[in-house]
Amino acid sequence: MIPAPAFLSNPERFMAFSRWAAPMFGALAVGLALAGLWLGFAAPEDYQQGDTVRIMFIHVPAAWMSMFVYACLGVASFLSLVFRHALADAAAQAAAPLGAAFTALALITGSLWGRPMWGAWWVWDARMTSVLVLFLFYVAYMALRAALDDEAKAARAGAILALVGVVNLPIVKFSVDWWNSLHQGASVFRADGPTVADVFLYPLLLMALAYMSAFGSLWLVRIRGEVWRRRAEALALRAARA
Amino acid sequence: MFAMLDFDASPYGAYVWPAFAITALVFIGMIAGALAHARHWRARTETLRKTAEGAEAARRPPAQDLGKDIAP
Repeated sequence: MIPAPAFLSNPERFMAFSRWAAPMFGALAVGLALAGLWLGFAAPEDYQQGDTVRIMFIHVPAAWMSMFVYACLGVASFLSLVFRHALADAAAQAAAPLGAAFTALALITGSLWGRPMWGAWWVWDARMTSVLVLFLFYVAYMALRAALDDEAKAARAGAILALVGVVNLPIVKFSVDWWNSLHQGASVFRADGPTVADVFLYPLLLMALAYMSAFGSLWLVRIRGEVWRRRAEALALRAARA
Repeated sequence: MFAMLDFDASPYGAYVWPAFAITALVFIGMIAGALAHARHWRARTETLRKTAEGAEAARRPPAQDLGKDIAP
């Protein structure tokens, strides 16, 4: 069996860990976001994009998080499906609404950048279409979980759907390389280093870390909520049987 | 100190500020949703636990006063 971190394999230890880790990640997110926004608004206008370059500081981290959260959903679903780990299933269920929110943010802020720069709110470009498909996977996962009353069946069906959706992640990432795309290619995570000027790169990275910390905090809070929900349902069932 | 910050987004203010406003709203929604979900189920669990403990105590037979039997 794959060794899980101790706090993942024991709900009591997870609850003790998350009690202090969630607010700590939240405070870290606020600090990083303030620093990122400060540098972002101190940066000069881009010579081509003008002030719309500031949308990049909130759009690009949201787009990265949409994929990262789906990867977390995929790993948690795999652990839930293969090892029937209740906390892994709770983690998967807790990640979905956050991932959907980040993906929606990426689509909306991208659209608000695209209108002045491309002259269109939306184009059926490979990157944008694959991100829309990613959003639909999140929505389908949540709808499937909500539609099934049997918790075990919902967990299994949701995990299978989530794992099918993992196929979409490389499509999102490499869509700009595989197809002719209006969307720009990778400019930060490249083998030959970032092509973004430092004055834009630093606020972008700070905002990305802020989004990551915020996700860490909110994910832990949502998993705690899931643990309590399952405890409440177990207690209600026991009371009904007595 | 704030003079070094450039909040003049013209002529793109109509796109830049809504993007930041929507981002703020979505984050507020995520925070409120996560906290409300956790607090609701924590309170529900505590209520059910207290109810279960009360029911368990009611089912338990009353403790016998052993002193009565052995008293002269």
